[in-house]
Amino acid sequence: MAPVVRMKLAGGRRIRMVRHVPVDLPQCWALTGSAACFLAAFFADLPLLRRTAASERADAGVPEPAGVSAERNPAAAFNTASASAIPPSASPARRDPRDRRARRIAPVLVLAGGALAAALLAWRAGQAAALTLPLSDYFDAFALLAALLAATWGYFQWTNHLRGLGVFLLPMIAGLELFGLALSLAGYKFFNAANPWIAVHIASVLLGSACFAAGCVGGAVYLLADRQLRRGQFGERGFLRLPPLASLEKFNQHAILLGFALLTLAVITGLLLQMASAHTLGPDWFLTPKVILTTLTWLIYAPLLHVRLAPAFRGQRAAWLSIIGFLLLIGVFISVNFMPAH
Amino acid sequence: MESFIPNSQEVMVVGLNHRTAPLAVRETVAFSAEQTRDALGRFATLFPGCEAAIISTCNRVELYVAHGAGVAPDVATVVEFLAGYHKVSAADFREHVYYYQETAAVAHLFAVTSSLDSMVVGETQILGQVKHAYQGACAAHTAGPMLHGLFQRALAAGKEVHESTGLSAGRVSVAGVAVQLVHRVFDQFSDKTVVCLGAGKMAELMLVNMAKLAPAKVIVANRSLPRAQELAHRTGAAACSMDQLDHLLTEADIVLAGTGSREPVITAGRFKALLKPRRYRPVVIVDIAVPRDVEPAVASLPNVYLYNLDDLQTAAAGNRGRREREIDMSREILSRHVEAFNNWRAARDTGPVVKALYEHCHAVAADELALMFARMPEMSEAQRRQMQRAAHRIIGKILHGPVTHITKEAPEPVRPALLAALRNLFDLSAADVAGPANAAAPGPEPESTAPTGN
Repeated sequence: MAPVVRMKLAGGRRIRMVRHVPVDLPQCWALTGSAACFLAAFFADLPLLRRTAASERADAGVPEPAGVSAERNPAAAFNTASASAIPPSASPARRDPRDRRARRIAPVLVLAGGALAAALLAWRAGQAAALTLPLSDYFDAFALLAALLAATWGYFQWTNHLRGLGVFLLPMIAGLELFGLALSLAGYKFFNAANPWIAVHIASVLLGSACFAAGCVGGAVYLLADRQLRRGQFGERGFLRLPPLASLEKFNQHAILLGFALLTLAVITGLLLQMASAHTLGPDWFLTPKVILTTLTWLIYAPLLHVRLAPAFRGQRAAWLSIIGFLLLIGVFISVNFMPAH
Repeated sequence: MESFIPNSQEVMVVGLNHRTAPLAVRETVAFSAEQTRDALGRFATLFPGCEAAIISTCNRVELYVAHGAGVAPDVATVVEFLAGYHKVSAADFREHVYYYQETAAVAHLFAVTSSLDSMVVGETQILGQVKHAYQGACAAHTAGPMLHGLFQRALAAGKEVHESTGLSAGRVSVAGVAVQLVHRVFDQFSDKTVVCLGAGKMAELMLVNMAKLAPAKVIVANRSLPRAQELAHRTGAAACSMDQLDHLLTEADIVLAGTGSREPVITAGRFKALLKPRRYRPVVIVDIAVPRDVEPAVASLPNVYLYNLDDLQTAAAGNRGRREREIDMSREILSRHVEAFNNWRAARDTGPVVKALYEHCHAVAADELALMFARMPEMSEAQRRQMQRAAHRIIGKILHGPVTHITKEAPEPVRPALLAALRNLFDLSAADVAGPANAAAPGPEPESTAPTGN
């Protein structure tokens, strides 16, 4: 039977109960299974990005420009492709049956992984007495993150100019699930979601983290695409079909803007909560690793919002900052868990 | 040996191409049209009696030499000539150079003309470029009978390959690849500016393709403003002079560089200074000029994506695999053409020798008959004619076998030796056998039909 935790607000009024649902072995396996689904989907999807330039053109169905007659103007040959009349889909090389199977496998796996995480979350929420927020600890938090990011994957998949980004989100989801599992197993941390301040704090942290995780993936893919474009080996086997740099940059900016707003909210609510309990923490409460790391993360993301004002932070630098910012955020999670505020 | 085969016309090619030399080397030895004429003139004075032609494209620089009896420049001399002309060290140059002689050289030119040797197999531009090279040699009066035959046959072979195989089908153009690359960086074009430097043919082709993206602004800049205006008028762009280059580069999101400048137009220092005014906007620079217009160091600047012709061609060449069958077919056509050319050459070599042989025999017979007629003045005119006819027939019957053997039956490699033997045994002097190199008659125009050899 799950232990019942009774909480009191400052006024001493009793509020509804939130039960803590302990993490047991089957739940661990379920979350690991969900992570495995995402990883498997990653490995099923990745080869689809690895195409030759020719097959990419064929897929894109880019019509070859028809130029003037090569007879009259020899240089026009530079420009003409006499086969432009043949639709690219007619090429047998492009319809690899293995590709078609892989195309179907990945969505099924992602759906399975996301459904598993969501089901786990729902079950745990059902086990808990209160349904205000189905969150009682990291296990729930990261399962929710996984479900959110799986939905983001769907968005990428159906958005033309961002297709190819989703693939790289999959290992991130799996990694976050395993990370949450590890945090949950290493040290139980009860989220008192019944306190509305804490609920807002946790919700903004989680949604902000989802944004930053997506931004981090976007940044990594930006760097990868940038490197590919600089190397210029387009016909090679390892060349991946990635979204255009401009789309990646725009996505990153949006993800970080939203994430930053949520992070700011989280920081403010966090500060309020800290200050409310300042008397128990002592005068040095702001020198804890949690506060310092959070401030640092906040400062890292700040210039990314101001690309319009500080264009030197464009491109690669912005991508690196979004990766570093996310790593710091993970650091904040760890510090919150392992380094108590007092 | 040289005296043994005095009249053998050796064909030789010395050159480098995209496989043997990187763009950085190729651009140092590329010939412009004027340079080609100048270099051919210089070559002709250095090696009188030699025929020469230069093919200089973005992908290759090749010097074809056919030499006659006298001077025979060896490969090292030709390499030194090329290196010396462009003032590069011959040692650096040599490691990138290939050379072929005789049938291999012929086969090479045929493969080049039919684009089998091109980076983008199946391109037809090379046909025009070989034609230009041939016209250049004609204009410089360095194309003799040998090169006339060689180039006309090469063009015919190239044309046949393009017409009768699917080699140029399904080919991806370099301009198409450039458009693809631009799509990899930008996702919309309605707010982009395309700047085209240079108003040449290549620049125009690129521009026409880029214009299909419907960018906000297209600007053509050229050293001579009228040419820029002309191209701008044709493509619906704005024209501008090169003086405003910095301003243009600040505006541009896509730069197409295709000027004929020998020096880089966009240096790293110049572009670096523009990064800030550009507000670090990404820019795609497509450099289709050889020699390059953009310093390679520009590529390492942030948010700058620089592509040169090699990059584009490598990408365009990606679909070579599925055309293997067409390539095999083309090779068959080419080997037939090479054989026909060799036959033509053999006939060209054999003809004068056979003629000289007949003339020699007839001269001997005429001498003998004249002597006999002088001794026998009582012979009637009819008898004399009878005697002359008999002598003709005897000569004809004796020579028929050997001559047919040499012209028709003898295998190709043996022919030069047989011809040399004939010349030596019958003492047919060089004057009797007028070598093609000595016949400095101006060649036929390239448009004329190729001489038919048998």
